[in-house]
Amino acid sequence: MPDEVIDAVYFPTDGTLSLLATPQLEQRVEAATIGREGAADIPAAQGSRLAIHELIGQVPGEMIAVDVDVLRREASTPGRFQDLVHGYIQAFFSQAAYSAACNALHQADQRAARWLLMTHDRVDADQFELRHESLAVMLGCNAPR
Amino acid sequence: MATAARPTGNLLLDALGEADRTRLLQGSSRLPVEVGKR
Repeated sequence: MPDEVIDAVYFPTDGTLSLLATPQLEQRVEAATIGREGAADIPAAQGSRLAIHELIGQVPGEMIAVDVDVLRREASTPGRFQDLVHGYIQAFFSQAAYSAACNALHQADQRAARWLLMTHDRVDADQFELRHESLAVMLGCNAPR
Repeated sequence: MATAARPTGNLLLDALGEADRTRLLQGSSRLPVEVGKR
């Protein structure tokens, strides 16, 4: 949750997490999806101590919680893990940027297609659980425009 | 975790060598991803 101290970084091995932007109370829109390709709260690797966005489970599965102090120690050492963290942060930023563009420029059916494909990429299955109200949040359809 | 060196299913973690992954996963735990919950 926003303003909570980050004590662990979460690496999904199955299922997905959603990073939500909450511009106003009762308005939540997905800004990025996190699955087995990445990790939630990864800025903690570079020293961030407080979460600034809401993070929720979206597709059920499993994740590995890595202690934030261990993560910082490993990420501060030049090497493979540090390179992976930097690369993932860049990719994550790009995903959020394209989400902003998609939400501004595309219709709901186009946004739904993008979300389904991004989720499909991350869950290794042609079928996955999804609640109707969750999809509305993911697509920003619950917020007045 | 006892099986830290094994591939985990997460692509970032599995891109590491076994020694690096084992060190990173010291004290880690597996948790369920539950819909709608942090």
